[in-house]
Amino acid sequence: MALFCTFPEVFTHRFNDELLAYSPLTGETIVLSDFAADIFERLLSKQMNFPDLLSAVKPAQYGDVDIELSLRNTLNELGRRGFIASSK
Amino acid sequence: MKSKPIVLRIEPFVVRLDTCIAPVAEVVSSLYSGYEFIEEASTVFVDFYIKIAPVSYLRGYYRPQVQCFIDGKAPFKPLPISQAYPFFEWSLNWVVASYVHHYLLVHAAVLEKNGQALILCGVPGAGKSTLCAALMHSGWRLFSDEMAVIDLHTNELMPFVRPISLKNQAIDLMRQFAPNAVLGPSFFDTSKGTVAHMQPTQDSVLRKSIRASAKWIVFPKYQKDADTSLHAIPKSQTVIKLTKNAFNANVLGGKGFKNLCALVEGSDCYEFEYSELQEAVNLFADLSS
Repeated sequence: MALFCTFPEVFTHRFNDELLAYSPLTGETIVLSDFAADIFERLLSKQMNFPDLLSAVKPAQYGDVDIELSLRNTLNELGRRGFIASSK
Repeated sequence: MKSKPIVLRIEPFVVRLDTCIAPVAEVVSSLYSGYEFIEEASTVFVDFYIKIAPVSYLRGYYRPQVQCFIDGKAPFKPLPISQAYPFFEWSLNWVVASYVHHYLLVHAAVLEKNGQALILCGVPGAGKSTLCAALMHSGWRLFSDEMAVIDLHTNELMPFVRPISLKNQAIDLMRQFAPNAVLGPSFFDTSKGTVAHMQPTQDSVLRKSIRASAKWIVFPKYQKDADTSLHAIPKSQTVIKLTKNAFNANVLGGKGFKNLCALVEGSDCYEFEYSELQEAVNLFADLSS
């Protein structure tokens, strides 16, 4: 099962409630949403697969959203922008 | 006859200008009076070699043009000879923005008061230079009208004091606002319209080695008939905006990102809209006190 991790050399900075991240791969700086920041910070501390991430994210915290779909989209977007990578 | 090169210390750089076009040398002598003109070029390390020279023999007679050479290469198309001086200033902006990567460079005006620096960052036409010139003549010390030069080790702002480039209506506006200010000649029909350069104040030139830490980061916008308004913006948004205006953030990579975050962390960040220059100046006086 694919493992997700943050891309090496990604830099982050937290301003109060907002997490900012810079990817040296794409040169892009982004402000992460609360949900994306939650995922990203988990991946910063350790590699995780999709089911583990899904069970780690608490649906109650994010209201009435499809957590699985949101997680999938977030991982795709973070990967596309050079912030995370996944193993085969 | 070969003209003598002008070797000028514009902190933190040394620039050598070779030109046989007398009006260019005259304007440089006038607008950069108070700067160190180095007599013996071989005694110093020169950061940038700029040559402004007539294009060719034939062009000396028909619509004469000048070419700019930087380290012997000509990166730009020639311009009319009447624009030779602004060509020098634009070339210097370009060469610093393109080749200086041991500092973080952001497209912004910078001024200082009481040891605290104000960064005015905005797109061309936002009224940044006009506001910068007005503040310089209202008790603020000029660091730069064109770029914030940031020390990567200390995150301090470094003065890079040069004449302020005013455009179009801003020229007459500043003549009224600061009647004692020294302005160079007006250059017409340039790619930016009419351009004139304002000499930095004596205080700005005398204290050109004294750095300051950022205190305010402001994104000004001139809007006709707008009320003067200043509102705080999130620091994360400020980093994004500064990154977009940085000349070399991508070259510096993670180091540039960390420096920008540290710069913003210690600063108050605002968007600012204005139409009345005096009101704007008063607002920044209140902010600094």
